[in-house]
Amino acid sequence: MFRIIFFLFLSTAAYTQQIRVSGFVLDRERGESIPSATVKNLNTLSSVYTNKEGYFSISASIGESLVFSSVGFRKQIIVVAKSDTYINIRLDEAAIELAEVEVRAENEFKNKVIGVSSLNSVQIKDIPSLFGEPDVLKAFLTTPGVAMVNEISSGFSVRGGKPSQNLILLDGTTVYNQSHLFGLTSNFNPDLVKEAKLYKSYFPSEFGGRASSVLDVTLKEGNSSHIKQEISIGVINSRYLIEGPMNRVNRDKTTFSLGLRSSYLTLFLLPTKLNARRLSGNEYFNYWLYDVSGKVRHSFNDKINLYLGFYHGNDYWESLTGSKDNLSSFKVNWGNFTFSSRLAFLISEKIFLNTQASITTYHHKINLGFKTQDLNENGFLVSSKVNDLELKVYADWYATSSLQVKLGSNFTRHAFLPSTIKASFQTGSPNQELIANEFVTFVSFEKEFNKNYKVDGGLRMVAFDTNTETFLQFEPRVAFRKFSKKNSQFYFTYNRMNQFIHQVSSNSLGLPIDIWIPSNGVIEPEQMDQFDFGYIRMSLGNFKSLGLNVFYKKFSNLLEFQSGVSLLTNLEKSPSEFVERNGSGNAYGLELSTLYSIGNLDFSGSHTYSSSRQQFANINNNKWFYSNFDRPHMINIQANQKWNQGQKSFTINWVYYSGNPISIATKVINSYSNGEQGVQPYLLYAERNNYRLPDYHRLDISFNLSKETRRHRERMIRVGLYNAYNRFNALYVKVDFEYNNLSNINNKVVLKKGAVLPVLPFINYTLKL
Amino acid sequence: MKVTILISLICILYCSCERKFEVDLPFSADELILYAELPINGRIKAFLSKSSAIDVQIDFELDYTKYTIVLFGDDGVIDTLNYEENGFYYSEKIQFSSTNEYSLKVFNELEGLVLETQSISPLPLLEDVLIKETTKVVQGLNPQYETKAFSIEVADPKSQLDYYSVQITGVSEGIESIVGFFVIGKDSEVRSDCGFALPSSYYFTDKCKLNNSLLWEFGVELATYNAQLQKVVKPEIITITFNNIDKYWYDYYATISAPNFIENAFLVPKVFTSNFKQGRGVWAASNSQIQSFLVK
Repeated sequence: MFRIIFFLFLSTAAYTQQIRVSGFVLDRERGESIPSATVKNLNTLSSVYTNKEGYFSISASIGESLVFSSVGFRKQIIVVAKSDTYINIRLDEAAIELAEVEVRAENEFKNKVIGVSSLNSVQIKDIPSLFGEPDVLKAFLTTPGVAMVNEISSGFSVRGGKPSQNLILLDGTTVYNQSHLFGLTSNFNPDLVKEAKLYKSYFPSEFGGRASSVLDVTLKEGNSSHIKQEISIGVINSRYLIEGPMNRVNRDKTTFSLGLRSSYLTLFLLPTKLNARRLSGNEYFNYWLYDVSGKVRHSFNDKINLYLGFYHGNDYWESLTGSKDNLSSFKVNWGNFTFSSRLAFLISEKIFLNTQASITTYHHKINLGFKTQDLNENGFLVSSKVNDLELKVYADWYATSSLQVKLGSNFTRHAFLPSTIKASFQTGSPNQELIANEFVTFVSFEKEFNKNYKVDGGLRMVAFDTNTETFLQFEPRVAFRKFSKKNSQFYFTYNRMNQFIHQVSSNSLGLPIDIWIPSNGVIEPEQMDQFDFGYIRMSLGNFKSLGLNVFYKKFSNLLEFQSGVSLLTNLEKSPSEFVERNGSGNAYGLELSTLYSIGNLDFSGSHTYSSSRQQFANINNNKWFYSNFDRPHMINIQANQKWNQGQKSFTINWVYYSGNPISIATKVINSYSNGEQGVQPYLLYAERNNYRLPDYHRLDISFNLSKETRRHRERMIRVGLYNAYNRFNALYVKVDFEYNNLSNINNKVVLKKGAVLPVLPFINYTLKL
Repeated sequence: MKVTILISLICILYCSCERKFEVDLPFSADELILYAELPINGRIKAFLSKSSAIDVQIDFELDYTKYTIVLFGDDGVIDTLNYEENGFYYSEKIQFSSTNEYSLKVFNELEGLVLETQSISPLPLLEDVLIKETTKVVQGLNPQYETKAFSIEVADPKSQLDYYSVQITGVSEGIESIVGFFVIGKDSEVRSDCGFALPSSYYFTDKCKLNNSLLWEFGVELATYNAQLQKVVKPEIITITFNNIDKYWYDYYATISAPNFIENAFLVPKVFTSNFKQGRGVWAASNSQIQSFLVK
């Protein structure tokens, strides 16, 4: 026996010849790269993950087996041959992959980055949503530690942070405002999303500039097999997608994707607008949103690819009130434009280089006008703008089979026009454009030790320069993981993040009355230090994964909008006037998550217990108070059942949030002005965020049915209910006065809770042409 | 049928879904509210009332026979304020020293000390204040109303003050009403415009410079509301009351003029701050300069 083992050992040793296997993992049908796919050596159990371009590089011996897997695709196993130093692997899409939840669990277990959640277009569409509109941002609300700001906002809070502390990237380009329709839906077209990743625990050094989280959205490049078109008709808007090769002969050479989305409420309301303009005594309201986004990929050869991507979207809201002789109009318009151009080179099997140039703009305009009987026209137009130009270069270096290094630099020129006013009356002098230059250098590495330990680390250096101040900050990042044989791991992460540009907002709605300003001599960069310690267990019977972690975040130099100041009525002023500075904050919490599967029935659930508090010298008398985004308990339970190879699916989603804190008046007092008792009573707000809205909970149901039409085209119908048991979740508290008719003075002050979204049925029809 | 379903869905979506229901408020006991002014020279004026709960009939009334307000200085009791009417108490005429500190205490005959302010010092009287009408053309927001321009200049080198207020009243047919009220503070002086108006139904354009001296130019719409006539009329006399105030008054005015609930229900309200050791209210220093102008 000993001889046999000895012989086997010798023969294996003789046969073992380590080579480096590299290449791209691609979608066989679409021809697109598959990012974050797992490449695992079944003999050594070492694994690597593809980068954004689907590139991987792994060490293996001839004769060893490599398995390639990704969510939504069938696994593929190859045996390494001598010639296999550079291979492209094409994975087949799986209409329903029985082991999908296992792959998802595995990805989350040994993913390239700790604490990252990723979703693709199909997963996003599986989650029931308001009006049946699949929404990238709202899909991430199922992630532990991620909470909605409120029901009608597309902003989200990650581990107690503010929505403005989330960095939102579209193909590597910053998107400043992610709201359509006041936040009811976000501005990412779900048909075009190839992959969306949310980082909340460990932040690779290439990301920075925000103090809470990073959402990285990548658009589809278009499939290389044939032209595909898709039409979706929903309750609010309709979408159109076209993608495919640009050249019929050489299909892999150049591909494109283009998505259009538009609401159609404006068509229904057009007659009322004409009526309001021509006749008297009518009121008119209109809303229109649209966006266009797309991407082009051009392959110069196997190793050089050019990607061009863009997004352009706008929202228009208009209302007219009064009569023809005394008409007042209110118009709001906001939107984003982004463009990115990226060249990806595979310089050698070990070095992958990217260069990117991008621009992003965000603007909003508020126009208020009055037209009186004598035909005098008065009013004002307030606008705000942000323009960024960014140049970026970074390289992946696959140094050894267990060491991967990424390093790069980027330069960004920010131009902010916080607010400028044009008015028919005299105003203060307009705000000047503020220019800030940001230079970043970063290095990060991933190193595996003995298959049992893995360390991710990095350092990011940021120089941020304005006319008045230059800031230099270093941001260390580290993640340490210990794997055990029982498919479990412990991890610890530490991250420092700085935020040099700040959003000033007087409300928590998705209204575009937001202003972005850079750090300067007065406003210090916001800083966040986060510690995260966790445990993940895989494959415990039907439990495909179990996760448990605790985190602690410390914020410094926080900014907060000054209490009681209306941004809308002070837009011509310098934004520095509106902010309280040098605030402190902390957030801590415990997150539990699980994936459970029985046959085609998948469950996922999470529970977060957390706290988020702040302190400012001039707010709440310097006492600590719960932040607006404090949610002690957040629970999300989702169940998904699929039949007929995924042609039918049924999803239910239940969410529960503790009520968020708000400030309410507790008393009414006499006011006093210039030696006299005031005429009107005054509401006494004694403490900041002294009241918590009632707990929020909601059940959403959706049923998806895919079928082939008579003309062999795929169609999909999605029907469902949002807020199925019609829970009236309070959104705000409103002050109402009850007047005494005799004395015409306020007799009683009452507070009322308002809710806006009852049970809402939805239907969405998609046809693939 | 499909069209009917589509139209029904759209109707469901775009009708107002807002529903209101009552807030379960935590119990909050009534508390005493005191506003009191400390001049450099003259009588202290104090206004005592109580808070009223939300959701019940507003009631600010107190049994004033049970409350006594006492003025304290560095060396102990200076005066006991006399109750006059409608919650107002007054001290004797006193010459206060700007180097001393003064506080007020409110006693209830049953409970004893119920309210105590912090100690503050009076502000020195400004000597070199010039309030005048100017010929500067002011473009008003509402062209229906004529406007007039005024300036206030404080060149007093002694003045190291940071906060001022201006009240403008108009008299029409013998009835006085407030045209507007401004507060200006060093914290708000960032650019040329540095005041805010109250009540908000009247509009002003104002410019000011606030360094070691103050130059404040502003326009006033000649419009006051005559309650008897129930319409807006042009005033015959404009009276401008200029006050140098301390930070406590400034913070108070900034608080009560904050649109805590005007813009939308999501606005973060301003928390009421008191410079009291016990109880709630404002005890602050101010001095006035008054100038009247006939409107032609």
